Amino acid sequence: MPTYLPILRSGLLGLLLFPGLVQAFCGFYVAGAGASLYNEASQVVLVRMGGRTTITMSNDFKGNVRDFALVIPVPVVLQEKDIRIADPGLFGRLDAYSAPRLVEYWDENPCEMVYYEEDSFGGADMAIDDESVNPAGARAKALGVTIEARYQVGEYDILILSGKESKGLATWLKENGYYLPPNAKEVLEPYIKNDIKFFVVKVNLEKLEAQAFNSLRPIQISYEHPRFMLPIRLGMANSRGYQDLIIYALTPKGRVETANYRTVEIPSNLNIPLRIKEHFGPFYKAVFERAWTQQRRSVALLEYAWDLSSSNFSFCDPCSSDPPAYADLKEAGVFWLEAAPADNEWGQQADYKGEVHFTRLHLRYGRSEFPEDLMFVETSNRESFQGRYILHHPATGDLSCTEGKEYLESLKARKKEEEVNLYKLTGWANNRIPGTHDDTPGTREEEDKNSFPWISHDTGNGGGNRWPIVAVSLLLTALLLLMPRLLGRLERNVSHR
Amino acid sequence: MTTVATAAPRKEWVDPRWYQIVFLGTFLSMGIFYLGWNARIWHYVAVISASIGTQLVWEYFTRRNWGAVKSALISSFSLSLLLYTNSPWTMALAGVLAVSSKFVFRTRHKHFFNPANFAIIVCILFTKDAWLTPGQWGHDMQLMFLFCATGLTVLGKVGRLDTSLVFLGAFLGLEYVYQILYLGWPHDVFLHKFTNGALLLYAFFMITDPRATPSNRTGRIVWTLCIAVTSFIVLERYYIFPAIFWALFVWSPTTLLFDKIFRAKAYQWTDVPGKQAAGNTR
Repeated sequence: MPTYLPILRSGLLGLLLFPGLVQAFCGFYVAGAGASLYNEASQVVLVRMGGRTTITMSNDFKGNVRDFALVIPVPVVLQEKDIRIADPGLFGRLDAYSAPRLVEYWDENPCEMVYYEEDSFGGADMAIDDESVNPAGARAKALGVTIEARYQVGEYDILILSGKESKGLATWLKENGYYLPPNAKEVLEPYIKNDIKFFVVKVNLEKLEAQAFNSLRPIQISYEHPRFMLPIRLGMANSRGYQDLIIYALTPKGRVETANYRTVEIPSNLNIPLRIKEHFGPFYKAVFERAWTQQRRSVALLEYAWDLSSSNFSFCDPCSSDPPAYADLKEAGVFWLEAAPADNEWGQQADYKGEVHFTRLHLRYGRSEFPEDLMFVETSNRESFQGRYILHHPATGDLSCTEGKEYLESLKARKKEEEVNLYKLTGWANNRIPGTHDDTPGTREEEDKNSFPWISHDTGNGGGNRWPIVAVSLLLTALLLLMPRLLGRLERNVSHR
Repeated sequence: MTTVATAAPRKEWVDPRWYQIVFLGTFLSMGIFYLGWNARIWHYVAVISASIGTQLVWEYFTRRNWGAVKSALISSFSLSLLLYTNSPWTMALAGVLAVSSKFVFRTRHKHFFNPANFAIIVCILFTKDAWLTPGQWGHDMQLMFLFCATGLTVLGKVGRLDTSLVFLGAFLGLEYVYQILYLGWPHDVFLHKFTNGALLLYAFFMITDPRATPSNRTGRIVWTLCIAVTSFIVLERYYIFPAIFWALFVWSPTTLLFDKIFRAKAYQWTDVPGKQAAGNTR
């Protein structure tokens, strides 16, 4: 079926495609809408307390809305009250608050005095979600497909389907104009057997036109179920490459981690060279890419974690934007907080009462490294964490005093450390920022040779990471052979004494 | 590498606990240096010193079998590898609980909770400051191989290989039947489940504690099967991730019952050669 070229992108939750569109769609994100660093990133707000989960999915679909469709596996049949449209600004606010940040410090002139710190941030924002597709008319139950519910929420027409077997469901979807990638069947089958329902969304054009704005807004669903998970498998059904997913989790107790994959903190709090200031976007992208590769691409990277409980004194440090307010948290689905007047005596304080913890996880997943859907656990970890990179501006002015000379010496060491950090973080050859004049061959050739002798041309593919395990294995083998004799003798000596 | 299972301990050159200490210590060092569990050094110091200290205090007032400090060290390594807390004090508390559980929950011949497992569950239930991180080890093949190889070595020496193999066989077998044969997930899903560091550590180094498992082999196998089935149900029905730890905790006290039904001699560590305290090593 050659006309049905697959394009499923984002996928948080899988999606299906419809005929046509494809080529144009693929080209769409490449253009880069300035703000978004990752052109195939989905964003999700995940709120969980007790057995209740609320999932809000960003919707940055910018193709022809007629072609939009989304299929999300859900554990229960959702009621109409469990589905709503969320404020599209929510993602931007959560992203700005939690994105990895660049901070600057100015050294004091040791021969004078002064100064303070400031922060700026080169927000590593992200965006993009989505899919495509088309109309669906209700039809045969002969296929074993049951339409459990049918709702109209905002600009969306929603169906909740359950199936008896994957073939019937696949046929139904196809007959109703949804393109299903061939690999999707291997995923549909387990879902159906596990009694998963399918939440199928398409756009109601009349409603959309009646609205003041014509972009699609985020969909929010809530349900009660012991499973704390996000289905990513369906979205991977025909995706060739890796997809980025940013999760903003809000929970009462503490940090959220992936239970069936490793969660690792992104390398952070390091001094980096001043020239990165203009290039923080590419820099952070490289940092992420390298950390992800070094963890064998099978990891959730923690970019931010903060205790936003009303009892906490500080909601960010430094703040790259206002911390989420009661209205934002409520919009996201946090239902256990109580509104309360903000106490201005201490400056920034919460306008709510209660416990809530913010976790930002960034995943880049592909089929081979992520065979299972994402399962989560909420831990009691309330420690703060942020992806934070530091610029130090050297002192200026007359530095001829004794302290000034010492300072200049220490500055040399710091510059070297900054370069080492930059290399460790990004793996950029010769520490050049790709795609900038900094990259021009020849300009810094000599300087590089002298300044960065420690820099090799390691591509950072993580291949060199196996040696510790090999070394440990050899060491253990040696110990196994020697230990009985050594320890046996030792222990006998002790007991005879 | 000895991999022969025996019901009773054989005469060894050396107390097999030394192997456990070296292996668990190595895993901990690898966690710190290779997996980047830095910044938790004080947690490790706290739990290790609390465990050893507690063991010494208890020994002073009871049998004065100083060799049992090795057991305390093993428990504290297990806790370092599995348990997470915000405060080092909670880790220290876990160490105290682990070691004390051996002296409090015991019959004349053996204790019936695995000390580290007991401490983990009690801390999670009562402190609000403790948690497990099931995905912490990742799915690195070499690492999994290392766990299996070292685990088999130790178990060959203490004669509890049956427990490990029965547990892994039953638990993974159930998972295989359910996930792959019934639900129809592809095989790499199963491989992904199997290569879970916490699961292997548990199967090779925790559930196999010879002093907290039924002494009779048949009894032990039945007991292990019960744990495997419980773990499977808790995981797949209730989606509670550290299912295996809860299952062991719940089934531990039944060790006594299993010992009544299936009679056998209690396990003794080959503690201090020639100076075996009758039935009271820990």
